[in-house]
Amino acid sequence: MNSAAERLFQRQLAAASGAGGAPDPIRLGELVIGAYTEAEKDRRRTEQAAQVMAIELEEVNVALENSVADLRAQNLRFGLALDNMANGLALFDNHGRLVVCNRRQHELLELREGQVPPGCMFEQFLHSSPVLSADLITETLRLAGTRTEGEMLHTYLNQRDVRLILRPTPDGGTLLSCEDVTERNRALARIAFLAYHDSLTELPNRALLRERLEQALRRGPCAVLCLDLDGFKGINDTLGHAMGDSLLREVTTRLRRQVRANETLARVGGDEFAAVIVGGMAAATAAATRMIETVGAQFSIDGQILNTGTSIGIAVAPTDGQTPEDLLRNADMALYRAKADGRGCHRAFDVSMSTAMQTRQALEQDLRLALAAGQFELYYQSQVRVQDGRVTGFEALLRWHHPERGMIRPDHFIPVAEETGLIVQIGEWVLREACKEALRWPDTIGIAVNVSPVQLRGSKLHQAVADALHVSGLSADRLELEITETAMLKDSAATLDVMRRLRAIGVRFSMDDFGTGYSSLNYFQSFPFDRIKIDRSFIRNLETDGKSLAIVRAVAGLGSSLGIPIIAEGVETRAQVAILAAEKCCYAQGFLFSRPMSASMVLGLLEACRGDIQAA
Amino acid sequence: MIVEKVQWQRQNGWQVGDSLSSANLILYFGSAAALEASNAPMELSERCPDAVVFGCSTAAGILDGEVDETGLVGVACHFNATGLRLVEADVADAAASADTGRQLGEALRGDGLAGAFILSDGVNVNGSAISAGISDVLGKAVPVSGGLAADGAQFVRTLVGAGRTARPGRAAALGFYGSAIRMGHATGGGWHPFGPRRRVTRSHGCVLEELDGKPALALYERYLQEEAAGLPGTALFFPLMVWDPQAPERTVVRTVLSIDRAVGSMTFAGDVPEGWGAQLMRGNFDGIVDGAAGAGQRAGKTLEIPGTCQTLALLVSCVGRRLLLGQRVAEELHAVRAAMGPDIRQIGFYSHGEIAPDAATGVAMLHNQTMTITLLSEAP
Repeated sequence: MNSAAERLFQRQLAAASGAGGAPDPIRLGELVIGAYTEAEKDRRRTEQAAQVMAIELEEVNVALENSVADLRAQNLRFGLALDNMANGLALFDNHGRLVVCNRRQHELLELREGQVPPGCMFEQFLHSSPVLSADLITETLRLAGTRTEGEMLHTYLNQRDVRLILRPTPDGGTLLSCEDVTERNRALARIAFLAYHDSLTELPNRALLRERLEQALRRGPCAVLCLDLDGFKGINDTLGHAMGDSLLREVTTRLRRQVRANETLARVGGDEFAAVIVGGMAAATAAATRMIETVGAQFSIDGQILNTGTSIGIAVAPTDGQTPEDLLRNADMALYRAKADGRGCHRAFDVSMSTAMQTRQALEQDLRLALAAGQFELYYQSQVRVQDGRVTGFEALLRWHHPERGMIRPDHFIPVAEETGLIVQIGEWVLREACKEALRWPDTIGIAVNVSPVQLRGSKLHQAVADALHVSGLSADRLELEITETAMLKDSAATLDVMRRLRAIGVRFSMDDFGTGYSSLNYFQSFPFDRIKIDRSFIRNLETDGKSLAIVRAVAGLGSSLGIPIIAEGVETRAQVAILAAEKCCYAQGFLFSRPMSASMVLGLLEACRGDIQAA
Repeated sequence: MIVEKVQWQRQNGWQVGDSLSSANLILYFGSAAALEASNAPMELSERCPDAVVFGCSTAAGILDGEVDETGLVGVACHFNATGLRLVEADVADAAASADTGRQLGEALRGDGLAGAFILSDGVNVNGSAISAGISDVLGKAVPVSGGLAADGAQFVRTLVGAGRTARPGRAAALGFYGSAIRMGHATGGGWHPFGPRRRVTRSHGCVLEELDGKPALALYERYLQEEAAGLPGTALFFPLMVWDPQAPERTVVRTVLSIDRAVGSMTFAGDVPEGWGAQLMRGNFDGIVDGAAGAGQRAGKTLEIPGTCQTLALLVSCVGRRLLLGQRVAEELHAVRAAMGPDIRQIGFYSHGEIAPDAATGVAMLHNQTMTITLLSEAP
């Protein structure tokens, strides 16, 4: 007996046998049945384990299938994402074989479909692209070999700027990503360009002008021209900014032709240009002359005929300055002179301009302080009836008592006040002061106040007059506003509207300096003036100059026909009075009757003659 | 070297040979009840005051091809030229196991140390940690083998005897010194992995909580079905094979020591690290017996001793094998005996874990569900 079963039974027999050696059948039975039971349990255990294992394996299968489906879906999503990336991407494994290359990479490298299949080697991949230069391929391979992350900026052979990034992957592979930065580079270049150039005309801006001027100064003799366009604001306001911009571009084109390659033309303001000209005064004036001529020629833009012109100031280095700041400032002053001299011309800087500019700036400064400091005073000159010499009113005349310079003449400071807009405040003060003073006079005496074109164009005149009348309590019909023809020329519709509104409250109007401006008779149709003032220039030689007489006669006749009384200014002799009387000129004003006098003197005069001033 | 049997039966008392008194080593194994009833530690120490008395509790003792479940088995050995030293340390819990191993190693370390045999508490211990601890100190040049004491498949209380006492919470190691001692080692399993490969998704130390995100205990209950009522003991039918994914060819087998139904976790005799691969194993009669036979054959080849010298085979086999084999358990001992030859005395016990040098590295490791053989002999 040597099998396992036999040995088992032997042991069972031995275990079931007592000391006497005879096996106990019950015990033997228990052992045998026990062995059967163990075998049965073992079998069942094995069978159950097999069943559970089969179920588990099925579950694993299902999970695997789901995983595969998930992976498939994920791959699809991944593929979509990859092919819709903005950047190109190519991934190579640790043997240098292509794993995946997205659509964008194909586009950037101009690779055809199927040209670089998966498995294709890195070097072969690079050589397949027609846009990679040999140098770039060499550099890319070298960088990939270093197994470090690297970035290169290159221009492909198709002129696209590309940012290439090479990145080693943890598993020994390589990732090549590419980004087309052409547009971004262009945008950056544009931004850099705009930092130094004007966006409308693409001319250098002030900053670049300054640099170019510095360079020119280092190189040798040069000059600065400052230009602005005549009447540009009017064109912009009436025809619109689009037309204004088109004009600027056309002007730029013409001006560009007048500067050489080694010279600079810049736009430094709305309608302001500057140029750096190589050479001295001769070259500068020649250039300026050409520019004036070319800009003065007619423009035709979008079927519209436009005319403009330019005024130019010239400053030459080193005489007129050795730094960009000095040259530009002095050329600007010369420009100011050119404009003052009538525009459409060029002027070279001279030192007196600087002095004049400084003086003007000082005057402007003082003028700003003058009103608050109470330095103004109104003087009054009488206006009389020619027939009987009776005083009918006074014209208010502004005087400025400068604390250091003494009395400053109106023709010195009124232009500055008008240029700076201070005339509006000053004018308001004049109105209030004049109305207040006039209230102290008899009711039959009126007050005439000059109104500047600037006041007339502004929005505050009506309110200023109304306030002055209201505060003073003066009756509106005692106030006469003297308006020149020049004032009416600009914005005539708006001007007429202001005048009508003032008329409506009772204020009277006279046309001042008649005969010296455009003398448009239209104004008399548009507006009912109360008086016409003949300018003094026609009265000066009245006794001896037939033309003056003819003009006075004509104006008097005009007034008579229109029913508008005439007042003559600058009357100094009895003979002039006689002629005026003969020509039916109703009123007169001048030294013959009285000089301009202070308010207190007016009161004295009125008291003395009770309004009946005769010729002195 | 001389080896003689020692036995104790409740009815017959001690049966010892004449040369007991000249023995310098007495090894004994038996159930905790038999140890206590026989008062073996004290009795043997009294009878042989000069001997090292060393043993532990078990499910069943092994003696010369037979299994003794009721009594106590042992051997009395006389070593002619080999020094012996028995050291011990407390093993409080699994976390302290590595320290315990190191302490034992430090205590044994010395000139001429040629090998060691360790017995440890089999319940509150991390067998792989204690093996690693002693190996840390002694290195792979000193082979270490042994086992974890058992109490059947209850996993409640085990005893380790060193000298006059046997108690729980103890680990002890016997060092062999000198140039005469010869040792051979082999292990054999016979369990086969089956079913899906899994991943340890939650564990700490020896405690396995989840496999593939699901409670580990639930998996065992599913496979054991009605036998789940016998957990943790019945878990021995399905040991767990685990491996490091970085070295998948180096698998180890783990035995369950206890379970926690509240959290669905299972405590194994050794580490089950998170992230490792795992697969259930099962055995059958032929496979288990063949595994033991294989161990026997390999063990014989590791020891080069003329046949005339007496050799002792220390067999430490796993309670799981005994549970599976049932009444046929002696077949595996028979297979070992047949492989090694009848002249080699067999002594041993069924353990909660076997310790033996790893075949590839020589470092002591915890093996589970194996037949582990340590051959001892002295060169002439």
